[in-house]
Amino acid sequence: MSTIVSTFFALFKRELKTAMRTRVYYLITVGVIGLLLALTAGGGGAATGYVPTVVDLLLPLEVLVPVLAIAIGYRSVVSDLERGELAVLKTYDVPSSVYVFAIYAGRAVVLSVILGSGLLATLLLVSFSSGPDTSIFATHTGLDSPLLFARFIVLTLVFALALLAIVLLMSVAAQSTLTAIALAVGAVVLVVVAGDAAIILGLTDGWIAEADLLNALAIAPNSAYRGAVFETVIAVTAASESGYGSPITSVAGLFAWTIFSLISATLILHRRTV
Amino acid sequence: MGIELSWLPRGPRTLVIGFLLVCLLSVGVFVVSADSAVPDPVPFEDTRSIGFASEVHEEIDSQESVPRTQVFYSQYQYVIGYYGIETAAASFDDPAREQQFGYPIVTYVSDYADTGIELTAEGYIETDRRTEWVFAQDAVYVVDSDARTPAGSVAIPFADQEQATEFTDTYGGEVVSWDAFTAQSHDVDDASLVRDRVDSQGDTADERVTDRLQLLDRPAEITVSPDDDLQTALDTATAETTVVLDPGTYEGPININKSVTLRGHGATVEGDENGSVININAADVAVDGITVTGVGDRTRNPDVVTGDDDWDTNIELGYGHGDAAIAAVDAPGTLVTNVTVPHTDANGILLRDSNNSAVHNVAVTGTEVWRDSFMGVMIMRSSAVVEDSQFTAGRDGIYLHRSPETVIRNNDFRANRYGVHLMHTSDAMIADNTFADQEYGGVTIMTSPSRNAIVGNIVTNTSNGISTSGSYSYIAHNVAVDTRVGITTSAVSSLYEHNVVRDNEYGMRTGSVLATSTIHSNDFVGNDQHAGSSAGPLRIWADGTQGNYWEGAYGDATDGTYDRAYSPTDPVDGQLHRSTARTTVAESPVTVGLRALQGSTPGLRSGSILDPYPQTEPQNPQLYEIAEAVSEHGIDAATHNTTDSTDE
Repeated sequence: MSTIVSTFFALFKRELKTAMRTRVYYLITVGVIGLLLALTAGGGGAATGYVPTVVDLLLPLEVLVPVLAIAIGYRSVVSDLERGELAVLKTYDVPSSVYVFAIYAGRAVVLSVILGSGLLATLLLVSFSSGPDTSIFATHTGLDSPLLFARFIVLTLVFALALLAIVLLMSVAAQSTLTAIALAVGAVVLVVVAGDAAIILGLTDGWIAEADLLNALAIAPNSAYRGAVFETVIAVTAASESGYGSPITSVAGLFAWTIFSLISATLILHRRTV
Repeated sequence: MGIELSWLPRGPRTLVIGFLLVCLLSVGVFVVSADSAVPDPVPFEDTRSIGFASEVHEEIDSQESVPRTQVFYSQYQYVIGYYGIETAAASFDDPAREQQFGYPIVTYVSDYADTGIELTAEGYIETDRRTEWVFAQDAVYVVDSDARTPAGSVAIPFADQEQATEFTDTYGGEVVSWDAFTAQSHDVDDASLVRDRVDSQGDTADERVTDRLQLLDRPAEITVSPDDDLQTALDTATAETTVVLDPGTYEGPININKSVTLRGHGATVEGDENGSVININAADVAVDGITVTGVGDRTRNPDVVTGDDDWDTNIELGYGHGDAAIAAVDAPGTLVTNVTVPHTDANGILLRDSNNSAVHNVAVTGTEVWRDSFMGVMIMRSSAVVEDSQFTAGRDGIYLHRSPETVIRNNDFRANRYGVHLMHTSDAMIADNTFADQEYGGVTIMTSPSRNAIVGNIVTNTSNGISTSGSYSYIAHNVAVDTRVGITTSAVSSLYEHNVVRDNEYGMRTGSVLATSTIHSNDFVGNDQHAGSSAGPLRIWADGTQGNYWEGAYGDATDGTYDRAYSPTDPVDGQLHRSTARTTVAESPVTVGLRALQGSTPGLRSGSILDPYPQTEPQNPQLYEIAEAVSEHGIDAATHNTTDSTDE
């Protein structure tokens, strides 16, 4: 037991050390923070509150998060493969599952730090810049609150981690860095676009009934993310209506994507290393 | 207790604990309710309040004499205060309210329990102690009692059922719950009532002028020639007769102290450059066809200003006491017609405490620099009609001070400071006038009055075309061309419809933080910025599914409405009519998606205007053509009577 745990943490630390040595990640962090702040400032929501900022950022993040997941995750396994490190690991008899989960955990921390720092910077910007437009009248914040923005951060990270797992699966499946990036991009496009497209088609052709729509939305990662944000963040301040998505099913859907991808990655790697 | 982690080495243990904490926190932000905090009531004067015109305010002795409501909305950062519980209840019925403000988080009303409330003989509320704020649901409401305010009968909230019942024992009425109270329909005066009033107010003005013009039918008794002494003739004339002047020049000043008509086509009355020239101090005096010169240059009288150094008092007392070509003081029913004042360093015509007066077909010219003269017509505490007249080069063409229900129509204003300037004046109508080259503005409303109608005017080449203030006003069928700001939408809870703004720096501009006005069916053409907005929530400029015409808006159209919303304050949209390349930017999925999302939190978004139903064609074709003609050829290209040719 303890060897597995220590192996896991050893691999996990190795991932973090590698990440900390990779200068381009710092650049990406700066880029993400800059981009999110620019979007926030440009959208005009920051001047008024947290929820308008969420509204401004939701759509760009649906695009940005998959791109980030690819950038962080596509080389995670395949580079070990190319450098022959997987063979070394085989020698030490590291179980595939430990290897996959450790790599994933390491990359997940990297992705969370990059994305999280961008979103926290946004939170700070809003907390400083939003305020009453005038000092003549009494003001209050309505139902706007940093708590809602915190929910948004959590949901965005859950969404990002699901996509990272999918990218990692592609990295395991790939034979070279080139195929890895192609596979990762292909899979993410498939998941991001095809999921929503399938739902639209399903609604058009009628094979998704209204009763099944919330479940269907939970299956497509982007829709799951969007639905959960609408329901738990934006709808709170809007009218007393709800039903944009089922947050629990949606988050379960995102976790399902994560677990399914990691288990598949383990199985593929296991078959390849045996 | 909890999870056993001691089997882990210390480093990983910290990591695992950290990870579990993050998970716990993540779940926590969803478990904690976001709407748990109910804001406390604020002092009423800090709310953005609606419900009363400022001059009505002055009739109210204390805050306690009007029951008040304050509402915190989920998407609105200002606390909205309502004078009268009815006003608040009526706003809850407004379908646009939820879109713009969100839903009420909490509503407070003033509690009259334990205040020692009593009613005066007129039904006005008096209390010994201040009211406290109480949750609206926790109070009961006395309706249909004898209680009233200057605005009408009012419901009174009590936190204590017994005291409410006691109140009804003395003053009548019945006790209802909050739910029952809000379920009733509450008609409060709104801007559509002003729209409905425009025609009848015009008819009333017609009647008043027709009635006044009958003063010209008085029998001619005395005929005066330039060699006679005019004042003697006036003193000897019998009341209800006409004194006729032969053409020529007569020495003034003169005083008219009885109800006579003074007619003198071709006659000039010449003052001594000191004081007013024709002084009217009796009811039903008419002055017809006379030219007046030699007006004194005193524009106000500081001697009548007593003690109180309130700036407003200063104006009210001082302004009404300046020199004038014709000064009617305490002279109800005065008629001034066919009169020319070729030059005045002070007022043209002064009406002070002279209700029911009419000024018809006069021409007043001031000085080369507006600062050197005063008002074309100064109307102080008098309800009047001013029509078919010309005002040139004065400070203000027509200045109104506490003169409700005055009608100003079919006049032409050139090169004044302001064309028409209203202070503390509600229920007035300003219709079918033309304004060109005013230094500061065409129509300027100040001091938050109510229920004014500004209809069918044409304004060009000035700073502020039509500048509004107050509430429940109707601003329609006007044309503003070549101004800095065509029309300001600062009057709240008002209706702005069927106006054409063309070639202005700003077509319309909103200055109020309160987004309660309805703005639709206006045409925005060729402005640097079609519309601008200061601080405050997102404004939705449409009435139901009827939006405005914005040059530059585009998209697929159904039944004359683009299905793509238009935002004049958007950096991309706002310049579509000037730059075709911006269409390429506007079509980016990012722009499209962002805009679609932004409509979901309108009340929390600052300083923007959105028209969800932009129209494909100009909504007012005839006014549109007039605006075009004025823009190209100046004010003289405008045809009069624009309200008769409007397109509903």
